[in-house]
Amino acid sequence: MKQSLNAKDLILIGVLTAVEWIICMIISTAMSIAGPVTNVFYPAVAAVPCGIVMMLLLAKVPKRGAFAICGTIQGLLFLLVGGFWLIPVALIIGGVICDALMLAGGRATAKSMTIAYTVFNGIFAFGAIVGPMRFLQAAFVAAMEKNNIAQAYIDGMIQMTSGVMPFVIVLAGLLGGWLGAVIGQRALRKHFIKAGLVSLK
Amino acid sequence: MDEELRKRITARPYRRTANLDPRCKLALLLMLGTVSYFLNGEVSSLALLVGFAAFVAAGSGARWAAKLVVFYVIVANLMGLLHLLTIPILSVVMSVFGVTILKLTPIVMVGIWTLRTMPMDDFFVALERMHLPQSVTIPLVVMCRYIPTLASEYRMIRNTMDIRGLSDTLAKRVLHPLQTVEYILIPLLMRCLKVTDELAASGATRGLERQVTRHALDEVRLGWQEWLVMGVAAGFLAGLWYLDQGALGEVMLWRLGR
Repeated sequence: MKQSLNAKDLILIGVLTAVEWIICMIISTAMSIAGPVTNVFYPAVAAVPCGIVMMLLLAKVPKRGAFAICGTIQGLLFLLVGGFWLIPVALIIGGVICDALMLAGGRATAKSMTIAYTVFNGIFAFGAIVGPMRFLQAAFVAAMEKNNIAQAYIDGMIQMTSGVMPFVIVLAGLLGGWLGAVIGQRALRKHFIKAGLVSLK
Repeated sequence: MDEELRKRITARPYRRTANLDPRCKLALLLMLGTVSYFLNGEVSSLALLVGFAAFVAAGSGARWAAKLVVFYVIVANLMGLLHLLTIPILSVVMSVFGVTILKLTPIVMVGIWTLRTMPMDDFFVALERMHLPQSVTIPLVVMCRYIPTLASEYRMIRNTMDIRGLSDTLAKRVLHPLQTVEYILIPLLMRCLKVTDELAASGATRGLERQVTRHALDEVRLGWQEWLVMGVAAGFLAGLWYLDQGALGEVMLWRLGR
């Protein structure tokens, strides 16, 4: 099924990405504030409700480019609200990779969507948490110290990202993505497919 | 073309800085977002906020800017008071919370002002002049247009829940995430699908899909004013950043004692 995106698809991507981004922002802000332990796992938790939105988007627009555009736009928005530059880069690269991954078998199926979304969240978890904390730790910690962030939080952040934790965080991201995709597809079946709004192969 | 009609179409309810090119506003937002997190001193952060507040106030956003400056000062003072007492876990949480809010305030101020004062038609044309493909411009414009609408959609869903006797509090939303999804997210997504259909129909009648160069009655271009504003902003931010590295970054404003 090789079709290019038409204006309606693009509008749908815009609307649903807005919803997804807002959910992601609310969860990430709440969890960053709650403490270092929850902060590092926010990509995993945010992936679950976002999975529902994403599955709807992919089911409605199972075409090449949908995933990449969604990732690119989220990345641009993160850049505009002052996110660390690695987040947009990860989102855009992740979007492009997962776009190819989803349509690798020729067409988007429930299974390929699950795989693509899982991988996407793994990349996002890496770009949002592991990347900055691993490779730019000194700058990150200095910024936090000067910002009067309590020492306990900084120590917690360092502790949470050393040793095997990067793998755990990425793994949690993958798990969150998988869970989000599964719950999303279940929600699709229960609410949207029954109502005849979308179909899932 | 009829001069009268042209005047009516191109009339803008905003003044001065609000009429700058969308590209200029986005560039400012981008610069602000990059610098805000790296300004650590309390004086320089306040200077950053006040500088941009003046800019926003000059463009029909005086009340909005004043509101956020007052909010910033209140939060900063509360943060200063926080250092006087230590409560085990709450202190840490509150300090992070406060810093996040202080850092986000200037970005939110300029961001929401941009959304409010930027006509979407101009934004669309401006993006096209940047030679972005349609697959990026359409979703981006739709998104900027739709984010404010989301809030009203959400309120309507809450109203409907009230009518059906489904009470909804923050505690409930956090404790029963699956119910939250069923009661709030799913109706919201249903609405999204409806809105998409309507927007697509509306877009089709206005020739959204045409792959041609768009023209605008409004003048959408980067003139000397835009370049001047961007230059001044870049200079202002660079100057603040430079001063922040020096003595200015160490000055404490909101701290009592310690």
